[in-house]
Amino acid sequence: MNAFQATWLVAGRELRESFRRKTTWIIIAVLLVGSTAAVVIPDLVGKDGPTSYDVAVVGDATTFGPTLVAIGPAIGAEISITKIADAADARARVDHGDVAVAVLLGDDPTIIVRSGEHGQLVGAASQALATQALSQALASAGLSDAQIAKVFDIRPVRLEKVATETASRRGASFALSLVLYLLSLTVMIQVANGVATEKSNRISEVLLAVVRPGPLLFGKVVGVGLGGIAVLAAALTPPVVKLAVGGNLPQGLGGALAGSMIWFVLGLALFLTLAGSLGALVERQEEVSSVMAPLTTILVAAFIVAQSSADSSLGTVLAYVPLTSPLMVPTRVAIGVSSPLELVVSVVLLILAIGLVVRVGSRIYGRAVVRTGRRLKLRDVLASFDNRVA
Amino acid sequence: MDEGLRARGVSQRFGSRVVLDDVDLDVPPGRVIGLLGPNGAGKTTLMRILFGVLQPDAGTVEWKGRRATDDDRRSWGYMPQERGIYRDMRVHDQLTWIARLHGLDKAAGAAHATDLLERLGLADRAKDKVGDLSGGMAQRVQLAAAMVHEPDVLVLDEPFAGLDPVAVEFLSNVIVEHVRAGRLLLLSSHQLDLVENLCETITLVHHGRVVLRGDVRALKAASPDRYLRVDVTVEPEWLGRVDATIASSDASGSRLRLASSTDATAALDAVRAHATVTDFGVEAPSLSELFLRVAGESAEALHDAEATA
Ligand SMILES: Nc1ncnc2c1ncn2[C@@H]1O[C@H](COP(=O)(O)OP(=O)(O)OP(=O)(O)O)[C@@H](O)[C@H]1O
Ligand SMILES: [Mg+2]
Repeated sequence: MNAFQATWLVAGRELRESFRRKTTWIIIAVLLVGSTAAVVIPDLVGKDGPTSYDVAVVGDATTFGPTLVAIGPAIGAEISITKIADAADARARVDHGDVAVAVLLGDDPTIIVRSGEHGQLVGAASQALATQALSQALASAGLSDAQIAKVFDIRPVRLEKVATETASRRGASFALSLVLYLLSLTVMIQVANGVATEKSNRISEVLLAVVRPGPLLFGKVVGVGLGGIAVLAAALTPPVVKLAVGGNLPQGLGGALAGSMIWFVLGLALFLTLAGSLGALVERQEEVSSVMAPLTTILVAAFIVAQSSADSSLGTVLAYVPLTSPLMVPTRVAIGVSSPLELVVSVVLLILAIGLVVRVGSRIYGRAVVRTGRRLKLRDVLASFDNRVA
Repeated sequence: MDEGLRARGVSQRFGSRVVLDDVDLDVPPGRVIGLLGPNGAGKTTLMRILFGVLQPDAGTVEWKGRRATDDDRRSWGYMPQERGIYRDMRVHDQLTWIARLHGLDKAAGAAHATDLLERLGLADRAKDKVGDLSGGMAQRVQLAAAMVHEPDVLVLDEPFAGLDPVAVEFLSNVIVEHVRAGRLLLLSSHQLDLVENLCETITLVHHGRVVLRGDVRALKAASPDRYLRVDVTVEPEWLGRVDATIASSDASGSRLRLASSTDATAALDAVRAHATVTDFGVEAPSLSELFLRVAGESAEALHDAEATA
């Protein structure tokens, strides 16, 4: 039997036993229901009717008003016009959110909107302004009203957005990162706990007499990791199904999803192997969380940086560091600040790190699981390596 | 002797403590081999080294005349002193899985597990979780885990610890059956009296060194010591001028160690002058008496060691 078969046997046991536990199925069911609801409910609510906007207009709106209202359906919205006497009042209403947008007509037309909002409506208002300017120009060129009407009697262009907006990409990547982050954290604790239990139940010695530490440790990582990915799949199936049948999913989710998977899987392998090695150091189960603290701290910090400033220079550096890149890179991809070189280098570094951690980790694991009686320091175990060489 | 398992020149330190010092061990087939010694002698450490769980500082483990490989070891069976088993896994599943780790396919593993559970009287508990079994039953599952792949080499670390007399008898039968089929068996114990009649060949370790080794009967016969066993409790002053010492006394009577010049009947007469003796015998030393002689320690030290185990 080779190392691969041994790893697979260990992983297989891990998976079988986890799917035999009721809690696993409960978690899957809850996630499936929650995620389905999150995908379906906004749809049901959204189908009640088009979005409606209030637009404040200052000035003579005889042409502008109807034009804007006519453009409404093109952006899937019902637009109603409120006439306002004075620009300051209009500005205040926009600021308070009473109206979506205010338009100041006149020689120097202005659109007032709260920053970052109602991109489509602003587009529609600009189009209406342009239309109005054009019709005035035609009128002064001597065309009759009927002729002008004929010029504009073309169906409004339907607006179809292809490019994704940064805001929605950020939103999607945040939701995804949060799910992946929470999952990694849970699965990591699960691996460390599993190893600690095997150590305290003394099963490790039975197993180490049959299987080398490497396959034993990595088998556990693969088994628990696949179990975690199965749970993740339950959470992601509804949005993916919807994507596949062509629903209008939050834009950016698809790309972020596919890209994240590589880093997620590799990152999980790295974190879980570390977690397994650390779990071997404890003497009692209760010590697991304290021995894991450095690892969880790194994970939390990486998550925070990824969500707050992935495009900063700190974020750029952390995108290369194997422990932080699994969280950093997917976010950077989602907001479009990563370069192809960065992706390649970061994946290569990550794979090298996994190789190293599996080697060193399985030696730590092999030494530590048969040393019982007290909580071990990493230093003690590493010191016994030197012993060997001397 | 190319068919056996052996260790040569094994040394192991933990920090500054020398736990094994140049230890040799031979396990030929067809005999019950005992690795004996008091607590902390290094028995478990040596067994871990045999199985590659620990890498020794020096020395080699050989199998059939060459260095043992991982594949060789995978065909052996090991029951560690610290029993270890997945408590939340079903008995039969667990045994099948362990058989597969040893390289059997699933069907063969399952068949072996079924047979073995039958033999060990656990057939009706096959679907139970190990955690739901009694301590003695779990102990038998542990033995089954070491034997499920029908190994040629079976190594049992303190197999009798915590067993009642019926279970001791049962396990002894399993052990004898195993070696009678021409296979190898090594067991360890710190309770020398318990394995006195089971072990055919012993290696006695003390503070990490081999202090005595060989065929038990030959060792006893070669010893110049003779003991007089009487079924009364002897007081020291009864012995008078007879050159003998009280080796041990317990509820069943006393054992007197006779000096080489002493006539056994003279010692018996000295005791009979004070009490009625209905049962007696002149005997070779027991394993613990052999150990005490080579270790040069007081009887209390060994008893203390056994009591704390
Ligand atoms: N992993 C370890 N790290 C440090 N010291 C150890 C380790 N394993 C064993 N020792 C020490 O080595 C010595 C021998 O231990 P070992 O378990 O081999 O004895 P033993 O003969 O099996 O004793 P017992 O009859 O109590 O089972 C003891 O002093 C023990 O404390
Ligand atoms: Mg021991």
